[in-house]
Amino acid sequence: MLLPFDYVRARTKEDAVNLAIEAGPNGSFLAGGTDLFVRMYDRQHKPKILIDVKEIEGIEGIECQNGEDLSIGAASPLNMLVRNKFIRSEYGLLAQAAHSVGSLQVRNRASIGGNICNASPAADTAPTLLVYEAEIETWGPKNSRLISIGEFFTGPGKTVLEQGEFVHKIRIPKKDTESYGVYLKLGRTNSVDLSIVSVACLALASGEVRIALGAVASTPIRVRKAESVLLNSKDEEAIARAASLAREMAVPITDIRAGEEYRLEMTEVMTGNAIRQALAGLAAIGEVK
Amino acid sequence: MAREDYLGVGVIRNDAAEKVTGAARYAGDLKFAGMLYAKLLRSKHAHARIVRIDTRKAQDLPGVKAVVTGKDFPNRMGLYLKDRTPYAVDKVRYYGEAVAGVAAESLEIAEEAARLIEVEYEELPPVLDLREAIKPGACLVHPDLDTYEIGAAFFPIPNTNISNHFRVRKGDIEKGFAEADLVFEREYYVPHIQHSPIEPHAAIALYDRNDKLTIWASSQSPFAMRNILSHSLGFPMNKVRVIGPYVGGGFGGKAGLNVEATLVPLAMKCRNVPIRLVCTREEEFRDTFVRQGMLCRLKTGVKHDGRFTAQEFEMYWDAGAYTEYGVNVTRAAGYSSSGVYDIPNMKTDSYCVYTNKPVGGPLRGFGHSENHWAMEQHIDQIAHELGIDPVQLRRINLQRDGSTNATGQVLRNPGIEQCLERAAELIGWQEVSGPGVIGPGVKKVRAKGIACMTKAPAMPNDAASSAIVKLNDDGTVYLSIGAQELGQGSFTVLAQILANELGVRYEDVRVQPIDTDYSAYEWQTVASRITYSCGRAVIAAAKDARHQVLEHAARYFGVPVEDIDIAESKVFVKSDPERCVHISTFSLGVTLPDFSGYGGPVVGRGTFIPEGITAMNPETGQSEKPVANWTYGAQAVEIELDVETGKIDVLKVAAVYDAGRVINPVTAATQVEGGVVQGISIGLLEEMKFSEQGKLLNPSYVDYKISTAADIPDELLVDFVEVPQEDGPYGARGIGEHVMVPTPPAIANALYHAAGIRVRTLPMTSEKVYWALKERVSASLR
Amino acid sequence: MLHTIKMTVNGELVKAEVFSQMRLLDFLREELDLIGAKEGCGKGECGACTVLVDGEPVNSCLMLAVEADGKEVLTVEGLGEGDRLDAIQQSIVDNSALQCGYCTPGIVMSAKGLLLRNTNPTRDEVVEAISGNLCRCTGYARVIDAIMQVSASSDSQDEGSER
Ligand SMILES: Cc1cc2nc3c(=O)[nH]c(=O)nc-3n(C[C@H](O)[C@H](O)[C@H](O)COP(=O)(O)OP(=O)(O)OC[C@H]3O[C@@H](n4cnc5c(N)ncnc54)[C@H](O)[C@@H]3O)c2cc1C
Ligand code: FES
Ligand code: FES
Repeated sequence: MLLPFDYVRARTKEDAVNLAIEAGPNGSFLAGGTDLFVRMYDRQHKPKILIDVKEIEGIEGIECQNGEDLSIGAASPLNMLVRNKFIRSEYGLLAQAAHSVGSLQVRNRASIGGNICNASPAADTAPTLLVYEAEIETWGPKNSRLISIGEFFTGPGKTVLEQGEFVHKIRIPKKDTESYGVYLKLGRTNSVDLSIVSVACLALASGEVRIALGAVASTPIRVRKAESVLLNSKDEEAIARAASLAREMAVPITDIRAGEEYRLEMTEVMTGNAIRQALAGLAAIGEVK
Repeated sequence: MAREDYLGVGVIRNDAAEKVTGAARYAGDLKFAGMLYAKLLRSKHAHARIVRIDTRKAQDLPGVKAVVTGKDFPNRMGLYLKDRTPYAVDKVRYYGEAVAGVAAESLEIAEEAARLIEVEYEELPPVLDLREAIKPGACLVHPDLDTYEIGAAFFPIPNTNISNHFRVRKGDIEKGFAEADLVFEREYYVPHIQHSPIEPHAAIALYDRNDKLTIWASSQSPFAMRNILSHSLGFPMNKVRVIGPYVGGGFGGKAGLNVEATLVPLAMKCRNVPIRLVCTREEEFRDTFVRQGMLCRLKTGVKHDGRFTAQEFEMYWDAGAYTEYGVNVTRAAGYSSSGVYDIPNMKTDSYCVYTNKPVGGPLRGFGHSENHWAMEQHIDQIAHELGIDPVQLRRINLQRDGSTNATGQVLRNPGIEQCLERAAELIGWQEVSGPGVIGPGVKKVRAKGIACMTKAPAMPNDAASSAIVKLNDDGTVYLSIGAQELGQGSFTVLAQILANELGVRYEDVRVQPIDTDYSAYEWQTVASRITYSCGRAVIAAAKDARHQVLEHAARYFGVPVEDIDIAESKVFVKSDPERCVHISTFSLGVTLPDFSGYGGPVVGRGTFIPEGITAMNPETGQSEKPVANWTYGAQAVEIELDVETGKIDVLKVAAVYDAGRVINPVTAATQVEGGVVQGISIGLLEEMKFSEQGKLLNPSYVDYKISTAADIPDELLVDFVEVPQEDGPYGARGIGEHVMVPTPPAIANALYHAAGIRVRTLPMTSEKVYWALKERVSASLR
Repeated sequence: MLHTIKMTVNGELVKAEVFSQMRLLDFLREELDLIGAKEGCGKGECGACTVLVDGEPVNSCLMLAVEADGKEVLTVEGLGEGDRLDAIQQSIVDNSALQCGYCTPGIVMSAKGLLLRNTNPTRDEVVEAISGNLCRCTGYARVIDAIMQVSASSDSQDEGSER
């Protein structure tokens, strides 16, 4: 059972902003509700007004064309990403990350925008968006702005979004070179679990290797120091060094899912594995071509 | 002469169609006009005195029909020990205990009203640590323990937190250890876990104008519920009626009387209006029953050749705030403390200890999962100490015909040897010598492990069953029993037994939903006792009905009774099978050729009570026949260990049980399959975690994980041994609970064979295993 | 706040007035008396409340009735025709892939959603489709088998019709 609130449907971007400003702190944007309703059910969050964003023009759907940025409507359910052929072939890492979220039922409702706006340190699409260097296109009282994903998260449950501002689209820069990505997620069960540690690793044909971590800091983090080791060398030693640097950059906490120390150890193990698998995947593409 | 038309046949479950279409109604699906909704206010302290409760604001809220607190119903209740009240009286004893209840026109109003109730507490030091709780001078959870009414089989220690001390003294323990070449001693621990049926507890209570209380409940035990309610209300039993629709999983959690009791005072205040309570998942986790934690020390003396000479077993149960049911868990774990082995000298002490934690109660396995977690790892470790293969060491010590168990009972033909050999064969057991060692660079290792088990129904010696069989004039047959269908398939198997014994088609048998006003009595649907005990009652009732049909038919055909037979719902003359009519001809009696009537409706009755079970000696726990029967089993597993993360995957399981006689191979197998996966889940994932103040931290599936479809073994081989149970129906005995008991220790043993590590504390989480691995590696470097 | 909503439930047009906070699950169970969908957790974890919305399985405990306005909802009660069970239901019965049955309607709907989209799923796809449905009784293996068998038999039917 949920406590009473008013549900309103925003039809346009302006509508959404106005409704949100009117509602003030009593209002919450609603996308798939898979985070929101859970918190409301637990009485942790008691909004008086829910502003449904799902019918705002352009907020659902995927625009993709070779040679252009990939643009994903914030309210697109994760299964839409998982099933999108273009994303699967060109941004496979994103499909993997989206697929790792919750259950099939949850992914039919859970949106990518909700995943990042909820700003859980363990949000599964966040490390991937970090390594793709996504940009968040928002709409708010000051009209539209583009926020780099690296600047989006400010703490657990906290983002740079201002009162009345919502995410409209998520843009992923067009692919300049071939790449191969790997998303590794450690949970307790093999399915439907939150990450204890997660690692997204994207190996690019340019030689760059990008790495981001989930669930090991107050926000998802990109570990550039670890990446830099791999610029010049990709041998086992460099991989081990990168993994150990990733561990150094992680600042996990102990919670009910795992202890701090275990998270640190796993950060190192999984970062190493993610790099190895990403490099091997990239090499395999090279061979095919 | 018993026919065997339906024995050993995997007929389609008789509840399947109703359930698969969504038509089956569970307690929470029932609705009544004008029904009210209940919400409970629960304690936010683990241990506190209730100084004041002010319910005025709640009462004044429009839509609120009744508000009750502990004072409205201070009567004590309980199955074996009356230590509990529906709502806390004067004191709260765990975080979550019901303090007040509201009935209102909607759940929203009820919740709001509960929020408006003001409670002033004076906090008391919570008793959360088992070791502290048993120290002399410890803060007492129940200072009045010695005034509580308690069953004769239980032994509380006044002025302590111990509500039961069960003892085994067998042989000469000192002599036993003196004879030993090796004495091996270890501690083990199991945490609190929860049954987690997918259906949370639900109940509807109605107190009508005739002072009759009716409860519709998701219950394993409608009759026990009636019994406990009647005793605590001081009502005659005919004024209490419990109706039991289908139950969405029980696993012990829906035995006895539980949250349903909170509705009673509300119903008494809102006469003639039904009130519904459905637990939230949070309440289901914390405020129904949980499985107690258990800390134990096990010490075994053994000869070089592997023979056990002595065993000392000390178990401390973290039994929670009320132990009305839990005391019997601790007793069962005590009398089964030899496991499947023949140990000449034994000393067991099992202590049921009050703590300020959720209420411990029965959970599938009933103390045996817990003590086998210790015993079945222990023997493996001894095997490695002695350099004997673990299966071989088991063979050396197994109970055989003429062996005695912990209670000194002389055993006849225990089926364990066959189970063990078959499980070993199915898994492809190869001799194991010593711990596994992980070489450099190895990321995954596989290994096998094995464990045995035995369990008896834990129930009062006089736990009874009964059945009534009624023939309808359309040829269908009603079977009235008090045993509940929780998913285990009892309705199917009992219908099979009836069809088999009476000679009717299985499809024509209808098992009637339970209503204590109309159904035949059953003690409780627990203890894996239904096929065994109720099965016998059904056989008797079917025989009785059959006899009546035969008599009617003999008259009808004008032949001797001996010349009549019934098969597939047809009644015929054996010497002239052409003379044959449908059984419905006789359902309501017979009309003879002269148009006179004879006989009357066919109604068969049958009862069963296991005979000859005697009390155990209070000092020694010894008894010639302490329990109805013992079921044995063995499980072997093959695991894969991810060395980098510590994650265990169970790849293959072989499970073999001595069912005595398998009446339905499909439902029997499904019990094993479900139990094994539950065992894996408990072995690897499940644990209730408490804060330092005693608050349960993970009362949801978000952080209390159970196995999903992605977590099951690739291969699960199930087999049965059939050493007949003398007094079982066609030789059958129960297996329902047994099947999850050996899974965790079998995995633990495999883990040792994989990597040379032992995790003696459940669950074997990746994190725990990982650190154990690390320690092993650094120890080997030292 | 009250909303007037219209949706198709099991093929029938339903019009109703609902409060904002009414979940789809409550609407089905309390207003329409479709009690097949169960509440096991209220938080999207157990899948007992699974129904299809526009052909896709969702947790009806995490969706508002008003959000289903204009949509097509299918519950377990809408499967099969008359006395004939849907092939998935029949297969679950035949395989004894249920025990207490509380999770079953949700599992049936998850399977239905899968087979609507993919008539020939792999075992992994079946596992994926039902891993959001907790079952404490069966141990899942038979459930997976039952769903695999439906897809196998619908395969052979397809072949049959081609001939
Ligand atoms: C059973 C279950 C399992 C889960 N497992 C995982 C998992 O494995 N990994 C994982 O990362 N998450 C998991 N989640 C969490 C959740 O599903 C995801 O975070 C999901 O992506 C949230 O999206 P949503 O559309 O449902 O968000 P909502 O619940 O609608 O919203 C979440 C938050 O974001 C805000 N918001 C939503 N959209 C916008 C927008 N466009 N602009 C501004 N603010 C917005 C809302 O106001 C709210 O505060 C799980 C949830 C459940 C119920
Ligand atoms: S009730 Fe909806 S997922 Fe559990
Ligand atoms: S059959 Fe009982 S939960 Fe699945």
